[in-house]
Amino acid sequence: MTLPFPFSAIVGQDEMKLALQLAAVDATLGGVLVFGDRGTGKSTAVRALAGLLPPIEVVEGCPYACAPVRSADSAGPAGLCAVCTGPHAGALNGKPGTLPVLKRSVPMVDLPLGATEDRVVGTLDLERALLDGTRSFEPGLLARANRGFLYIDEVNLLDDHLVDLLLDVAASGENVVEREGISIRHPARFVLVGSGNPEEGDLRPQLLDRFGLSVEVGTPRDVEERIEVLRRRDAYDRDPDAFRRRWGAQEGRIRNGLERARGRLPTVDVSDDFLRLASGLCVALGVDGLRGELTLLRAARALAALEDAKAVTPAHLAAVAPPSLRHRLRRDPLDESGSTERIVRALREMGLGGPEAGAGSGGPAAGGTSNGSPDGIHARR
Amino acid sequence: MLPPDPHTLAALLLAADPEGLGGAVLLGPGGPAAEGWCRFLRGNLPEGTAWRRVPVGVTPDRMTGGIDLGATLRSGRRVLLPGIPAEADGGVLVLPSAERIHAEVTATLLEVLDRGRLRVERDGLSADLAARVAVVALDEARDDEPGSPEALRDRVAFLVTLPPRWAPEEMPDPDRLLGSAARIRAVEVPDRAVRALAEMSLRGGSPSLRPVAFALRAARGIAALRGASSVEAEDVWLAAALVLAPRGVPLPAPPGEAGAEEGEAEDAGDMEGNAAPETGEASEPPPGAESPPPSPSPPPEAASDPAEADADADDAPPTPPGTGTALPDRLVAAVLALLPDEDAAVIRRRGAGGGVRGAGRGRGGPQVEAHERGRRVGAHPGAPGRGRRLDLPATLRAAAPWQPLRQVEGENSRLRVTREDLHVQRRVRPSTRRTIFAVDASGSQALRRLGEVKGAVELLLVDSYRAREEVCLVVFRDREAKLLLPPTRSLTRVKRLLRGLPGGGGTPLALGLAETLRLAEVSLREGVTPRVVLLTDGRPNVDAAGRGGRARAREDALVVAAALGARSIEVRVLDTGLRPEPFLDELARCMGARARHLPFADARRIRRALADPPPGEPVPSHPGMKSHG
Repeated sequence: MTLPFPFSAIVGQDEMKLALQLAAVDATLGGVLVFGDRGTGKSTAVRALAGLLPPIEVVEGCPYACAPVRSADSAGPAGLCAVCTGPHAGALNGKPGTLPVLKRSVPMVDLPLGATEDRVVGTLDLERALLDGTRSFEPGLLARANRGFLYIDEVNLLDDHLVDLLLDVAASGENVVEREGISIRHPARFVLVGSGNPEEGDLRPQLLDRFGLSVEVGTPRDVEERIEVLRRRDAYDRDPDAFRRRWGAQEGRIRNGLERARGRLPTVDVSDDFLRLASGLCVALGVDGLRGELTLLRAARALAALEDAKAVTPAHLAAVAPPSLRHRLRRDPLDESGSTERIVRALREMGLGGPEAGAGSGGPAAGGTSNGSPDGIHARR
Repeated sequence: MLPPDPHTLAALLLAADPEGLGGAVLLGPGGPAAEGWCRFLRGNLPEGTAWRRVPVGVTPDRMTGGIDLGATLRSGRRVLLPGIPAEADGGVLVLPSAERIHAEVTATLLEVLDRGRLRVERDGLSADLAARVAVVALDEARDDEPGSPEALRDRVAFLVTLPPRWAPEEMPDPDRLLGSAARIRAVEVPDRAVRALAEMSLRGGSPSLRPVAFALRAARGIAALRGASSVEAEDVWLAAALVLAPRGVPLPAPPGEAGAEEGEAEDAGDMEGNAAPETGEASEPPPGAESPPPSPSPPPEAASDPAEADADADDAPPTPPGTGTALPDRLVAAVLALLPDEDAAVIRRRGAGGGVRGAGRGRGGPQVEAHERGRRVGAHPGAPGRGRRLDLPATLRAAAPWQPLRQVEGENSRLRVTREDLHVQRRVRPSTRRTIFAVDASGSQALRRLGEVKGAVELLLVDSYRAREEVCLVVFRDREAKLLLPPTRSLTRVKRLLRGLPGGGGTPLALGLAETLRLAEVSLREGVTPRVVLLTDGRPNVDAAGRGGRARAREDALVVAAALGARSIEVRVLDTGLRPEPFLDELARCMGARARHLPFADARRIRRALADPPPGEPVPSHPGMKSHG
């Protein structure tokens, strides 16, 4: 139970795997929402992804896992926290560049549904306050998630105000704490991943569109695919170690792909034509605000980086359009056709062909070839 | 080597492989049968295995774990009280009254079943503890009540419906399972076994893959119990019967019986009712004596056609007759007797409430408790009392910074808390209001009207996201009233269920109102405020007993309406007929409401009508009961 199921061994669910990878390449994408049937490997995929990511460099002893200056990490400019720069840095010895550096795995924080707000944002350190009367801050889950992932299973069941708070922090990259006489701000850049089953209640629309990407997962209806899922699950249950060893090479390939893509990301070209195309699509679909365009741009760029393309192409746009936009369409309850179909239709009308209808995404451009599961649904047995 | 009774077998399998099979949901009234099953399970577990009963009404923080107040205050530093699942690590968690489980408690259980670990992040504490448990949930929901959460059922292998007088057929014997874990792991699973289960699971029931994986695991366990080294066709069949059939998956004919004709499908259905005597009697003295005559051809299963049966024969290599299947005849017969007669059973065994939160509301009780219940979301300053609970960590936190100032010379480190430090818990209730749509689907306008109502329900649902309201839908037509949509907030479910509503036939208004009343009462018991929206043209012609006749139909409708009125339930009556119907005015008065005529009600107008404030007039003291011929 402790060793995560390998990411590459997840059968099918190409769109979900792609979206998670895109978010891992560009942490500013705004997180991923995975909605779908029970037992489709939603949590498995998210937890597997963390085990897959290359380790990061952090300042030793920093509660927020600050990146040492000039880190290649794309999580953003390495703003050092108060601990790393402040007078209390003491042992850390102040000067950027000379901070003791440590390599560790990417933080993956699971937010339990029963978590209380104080544990999420951080709070007064009670013990120290009681024992020596000092007023010090005890970092919460947001601090621990800095530069990593924050995962909420059953996000639709989480209290709205907590979801609100998380989305706020995820967007600003900073956690501002003003409570119990504590006033502190610290970096909190993380990829927010939420998953849930729509049969148990939807997410409010105003929260929905604040997620960058939204993917829908369904139980595979194809016998062969189901067989493959069962077989791998069974093999994993019997001997997790051996199973993970067997998938080690594939995992390594994805890991390297992600690492390279992060490096390439800043160099990927985005033409004005592309921006016009993205805006045109958003207008055609009646998407409000700028979030749609921004997400399209970032997702397409991340995909281009993953595929080692020099510039973003319309094919990239078509591939990322459904996960980028489907949760931003104004919901007309009287319109029976699903969001995905509407997007695909709009893409076609713009002459973009779009991914094959029904497949959602994961079309030829969607990168299943270079970085997806090599042993995915197309190559089973 | 296999016990002749499927329920005994399920318990044995679970005892042999608790972690791999997740647990069981025992459906039906509790009592000696359920207790006997639990006792048998426990007796087969290795000595010293943890066995924890979760108290009914357990608080979420006791489940996840939290601060141990006593120890914390004594020691001056935070002490963690591990959650119940962590205390039961390596053992079994028994969950009584699973149909009324708190949504947050469910969430904890799901996490534990998924990860085998329990995280605590509250009261300033943070821990991740081992919690490998199997869950045995006792779900005593009656047929028409929402049962245990679907998400929980999806994570346990067995859904067990015990006959009222069930008792295990053998004595518990933990030695029997010695070393079974290793044996189970060593059992080979041929591809055709995986294929057979995967194909079977596509023929019906829920599409989720978890139960199928459980079935595979159970097949492995059965093979191990038989002492075999590889999973055979009969293991697959038996596992499917135990794990998949209760979830509505049609079971193929038992291996070796593939050709069984299906003319007697009806009989197989009937046998369900007769299952009790057979296994029931077995609880009395000599088990062997009562076993049914070894039938040369066990009754065919309820739902499959010959073609399917043949296909299965191919998947699973037929056992040559004569060498005999490894399955005792009696076991096969007992399994077949358990098979549901499709519809009723599928509905009964799938939680009507659906998801975690659908079924997760607490016990009914006075609404005064509203701010005591619900999820704890934080604290605010204030003194406890009048239902508000002290939030100790928040209070301590508020007091902490002042301790140096409050210290009195000579007195050593006594904690000083003043009134201003006090904090109480802030809680939110997941849902407080439920709109029950009662829709007349009879007659010629039915289709159009249903379309409108469907739209209105969806619009209202979108509106109610913010308010966290729920809706449910009662449809009455012909001679019956049906709860078409159990309380939900899920747009997905609404859409799916509303699609293709039937219409036409007579107008059993009384029945529709009776069903509405029942739902309203359930809501009140759950502490949720019901609101009724009745859409009809007010021309009932079927009475409460389902018989035709206008006069009786009206009279009965008025009686039920008065009952609704007497409970001060908010009712809106929308008259959807072409011309206003006077009878509806009378009916509405009985419910303390006023009929609004909406001749061309469309979805948006219905929604607007609902947004208007309710008619301010007081409930009439006694409704008129005269019937109109």
